[in-house]
Amino acid sequence: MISNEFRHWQTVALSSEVPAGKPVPVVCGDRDFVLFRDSDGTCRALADRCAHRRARLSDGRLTAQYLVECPYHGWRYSGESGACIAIPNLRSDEKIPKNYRVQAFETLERDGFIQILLGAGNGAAAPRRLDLPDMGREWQGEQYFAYPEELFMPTLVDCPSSLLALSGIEILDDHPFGNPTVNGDEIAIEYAAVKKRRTRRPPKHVPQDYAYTLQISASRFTARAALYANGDTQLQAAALIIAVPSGQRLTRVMWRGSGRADAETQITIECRNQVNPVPIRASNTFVSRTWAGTLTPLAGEAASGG
Amino acid sequence: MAAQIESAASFSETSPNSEWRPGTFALQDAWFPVAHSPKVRKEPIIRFVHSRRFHIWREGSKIHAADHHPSATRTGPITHFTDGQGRYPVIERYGHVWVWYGGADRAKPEYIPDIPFLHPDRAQPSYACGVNFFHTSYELVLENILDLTHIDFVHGKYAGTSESKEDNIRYESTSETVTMIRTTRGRPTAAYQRDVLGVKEPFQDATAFTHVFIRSGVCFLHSHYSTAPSIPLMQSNTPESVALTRANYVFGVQQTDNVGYARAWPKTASIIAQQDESVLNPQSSRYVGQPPKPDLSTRFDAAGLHYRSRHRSLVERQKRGDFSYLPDIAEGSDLAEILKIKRLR
Repeated sequence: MISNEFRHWQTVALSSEVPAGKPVPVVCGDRDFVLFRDSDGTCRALADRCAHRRARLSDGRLTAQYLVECPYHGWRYSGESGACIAIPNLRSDEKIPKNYRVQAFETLERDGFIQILLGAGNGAAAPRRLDLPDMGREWQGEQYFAYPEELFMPTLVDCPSSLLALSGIEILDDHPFGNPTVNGDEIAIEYAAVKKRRTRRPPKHVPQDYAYTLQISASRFTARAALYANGDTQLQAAALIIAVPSGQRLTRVMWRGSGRADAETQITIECRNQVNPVPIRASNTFVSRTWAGTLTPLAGEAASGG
Repeated sequence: MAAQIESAASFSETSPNSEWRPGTFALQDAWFPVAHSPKVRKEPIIRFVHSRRFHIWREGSKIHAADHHPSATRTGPITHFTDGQGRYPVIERYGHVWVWYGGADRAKPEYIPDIPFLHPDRAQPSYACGVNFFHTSYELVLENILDLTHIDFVHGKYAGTSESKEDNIRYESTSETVTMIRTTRGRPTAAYQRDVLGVKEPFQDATAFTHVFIRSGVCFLHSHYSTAPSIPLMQSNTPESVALTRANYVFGVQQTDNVGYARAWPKTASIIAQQDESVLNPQSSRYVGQPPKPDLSTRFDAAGLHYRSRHRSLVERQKRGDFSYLPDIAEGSDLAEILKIKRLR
């Protein structure tokens, strides 16, 4: 779940998901937000719950003054402060009290994603870097999975082919290149990948040289996937994948990708439409257990080194 | 009406300790109009009140309600809700079948309100009746109904928008009922009145009445427009469960001489219900099963807030084992006086 204990930036949406002139709902963990753009295009985030009768502000509209208007009784809120600015049919002598407001959140828009500042306290919080190398070709997408969010990243590092679709490329989940490496809360692992065969005929021989390396590094909500050609070690495509819990049963996954425009095969890295259970059945949980600290595969090496 | 008559302060904040927790207590000892009379035939139908199952069927001219199917052998425990043989008190009146949810020995027919726009022994024509469902607790449905300012935004096409020259809310109440009276002046004519009824005047004055029965959820609505006709509505708002409210509705179509309008207006009921559902459904999970939290209010919410208070009083009385009706019951049941409409006779 999304923590409320400490201050942190949480990625909640792709920039392209929040058009001008329209409030957009975002569910993150068990919290609801409404996002919309101000007069200068700045993205604003408020709690998606009218202070009056708890209706969803995101079902309302954006007024000409860039206030979000509740669909139920028309209370209007400022995106900057969350203050209730107008209530229909009040007399001119009825001034709205200052405590009539909804919670407003600081936002940051960079690298094609929108992040909002969550959590209590005044501790420093650094926004996430979500940039991608510029390779001349870009794509993005988002998808809901009926799959627990807390299993999404572990599954991605154990069995990437169950969640990722690489155009023209087959990921070999059973062929990791080396052990995973854990650095703080992040884990990195590499898998072999080959060009998809066009026929169903089995290969005449087991290929010893794999054409590609898929590198995956993952943290709690964010993963980077990068595909390198082994022949020239050139980066072919990369993708940044964000997974956030959406309510109790869904995981919302957003991704942006960048790929070589000049390559003969234009490769994209995207999420599948749904989790493919077949490779999961064949996979093990070696990588994720290493990440969780229940396995220490380098213990012998460390012992001999020490 | 000798009931409490009040207007409200401009702004108020409900206390987080006010214990407004819809769906946590089943008020009992009330008649619930669970079915339109023509729906009940020889084959039993099933209805629920506060999750209690009622099998209802006809045998000749007699109507029955029981906790078991008539062809089944009764196996459940005997409770004071039935007569000892699993039979509930049941009455057919005003084109509805009313079942009693509560102590069977305390059921009295006079607790059914006097409905001036329905015939006591005859059902309304089928085009004037229907049913909608709201996926929320009936307390939230009633609060929605008592809150007539939401119609400006949720039902603006049918009832007009919010830009009135003058807009005042009053409420009246008894120990069992809450009435909301909204008086507007210089209110824009609704698109429906303009396009369907041919109303030419751009503005109108209106007085709208909403009257709810706290225990059963039954409500009555009627408006008086300076430029257009109106038809009274009865809606059952039966709490089938904490998350589902059955709204059997019937229009008093005889109250207007405009035959086209009497035929057309009932057709809007399902559209208007969908509009209400669009706000009630998401609202539900933010109240039902949640710890009490403060709500911010204005004077326009006075009737709804008073409903919360009256509801709480009834809950406290019933928690103490007092299910009785107080002497003011008659004042809340005289609908001709409350809605200011003529009797159908």
